[in-house]
Amino acid sequence: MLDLPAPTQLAVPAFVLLVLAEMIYGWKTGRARFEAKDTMTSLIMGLGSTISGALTATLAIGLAYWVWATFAIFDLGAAWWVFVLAFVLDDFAYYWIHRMGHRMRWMWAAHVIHHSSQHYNLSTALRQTWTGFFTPSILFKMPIFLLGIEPAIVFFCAGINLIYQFWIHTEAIDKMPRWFEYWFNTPSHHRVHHANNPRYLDANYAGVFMVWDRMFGSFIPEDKAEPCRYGLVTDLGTFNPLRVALHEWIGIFKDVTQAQTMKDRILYLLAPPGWTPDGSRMTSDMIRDAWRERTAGHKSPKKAEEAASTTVAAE
Amino acid sequence: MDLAQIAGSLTAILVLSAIAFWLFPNRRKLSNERLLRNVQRYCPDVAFGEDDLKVFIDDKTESAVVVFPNNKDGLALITALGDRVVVRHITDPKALKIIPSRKGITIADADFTQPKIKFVLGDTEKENLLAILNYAGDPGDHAHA
Ligand SMILES: [Zn+2]
Ligand SMILES: [Zn+2]
Repeated sequence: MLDLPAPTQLAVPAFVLLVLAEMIYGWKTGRARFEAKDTMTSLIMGLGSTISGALTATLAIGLAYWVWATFAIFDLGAAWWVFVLAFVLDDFAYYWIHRMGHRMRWMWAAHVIHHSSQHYNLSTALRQTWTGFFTPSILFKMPIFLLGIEPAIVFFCAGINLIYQFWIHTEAIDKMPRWFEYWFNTPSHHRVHHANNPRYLDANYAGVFMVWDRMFGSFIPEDKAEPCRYGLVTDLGTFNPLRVALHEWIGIFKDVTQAQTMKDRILYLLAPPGWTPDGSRMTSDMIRDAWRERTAGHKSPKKAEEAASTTVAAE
Repeated sequence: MDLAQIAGSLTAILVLSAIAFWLFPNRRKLSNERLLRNVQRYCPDVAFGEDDLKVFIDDKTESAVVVFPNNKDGLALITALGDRVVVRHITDPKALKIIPSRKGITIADADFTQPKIKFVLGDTEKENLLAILNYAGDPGDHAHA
């Protein structure tokens, strides 16, 4: 078994210093905002995520190695180009894990934590899930192990990928050079991903390479006329880390146990967040459709402007 | 991950949160305008004019209740969470648990992400809030509102 370092653990001191640097920059320029309890919750979620990851790592690594050792088609070794290939393939798998993380309630139950802050700063990057192990996300990486890339290399690349995603959680950077914005995930693209404005919902799932969103139709550029408003469509009314970590699991449990049919039980897990058999709650598609209808309903340009401004100004 | 790392991380969390508290003091208030803007955002399909609403704001806890004019639209519970605002649209106010106490009123809801909202009130304010909640919760009892 290849012995590679855990990049995210090594990066923790740098994360702390960069959060501090952004705070000071925001304090001086007003181009970044923090709120003490929100920051504390994000950081506690980050620590909890590291602990839960360490507790479940043995099982995840064991499963990955078993698949690789038993079923791998090739033995690709550990040459430099295997690392490059692993990084690209892992980022592609990340795109689909992340997309399903928004479109399947079971996976959303774990991922929602990352979106639960109404702030967007470097501390938000550390607001990570405690329950990722309890979702089927590892299955999306199985094709990489089956191809013959050793799991340690894939996990190492996933760590680098997460480190890359740290710096994009900021309002302090407006836009990167055009070529960079085209190919890579940037603060601008990821702000849209964290926005709960109806027109920005379910977009920009990329980890590092933005091309996946462009290829699979999920790219939405940031529009200066509609500033991002961060958080969930129904924001949490608490900073309690346990409630933040578990709320969607509790919601699923309630729904599944009260469901009338087996089909509904399964759909409460596999359908998009907000799905109900009677349509009494709203999925992101329904929210977007209702918003489009409301905006289209305002025929005169002045009224349309008013409608748009109600979606941007509130917080 | 060992205990020393956890202790170091907890220290860093406390230090960074304290610095955030110091550099970014929360001076935002739950003004009427901010309240209505957020109610509009959370309840986009409820039609209301500002004058038709029954609004109750507790400045001490920065919690509020807005009762919509049309009884079937129910009410909105509003709280400030740090420097942001969170709204819950309650279409069936009868499902809320209203718990008066010596210091004020607590409204409890079967909502895991916002189980209760507290109001710190004097006797007259308490009566006002109860009247508003009664108005929303009991459509047959408007005369007492
Ligand atoms: Zn996401
Ligand atoms: Zn993010």
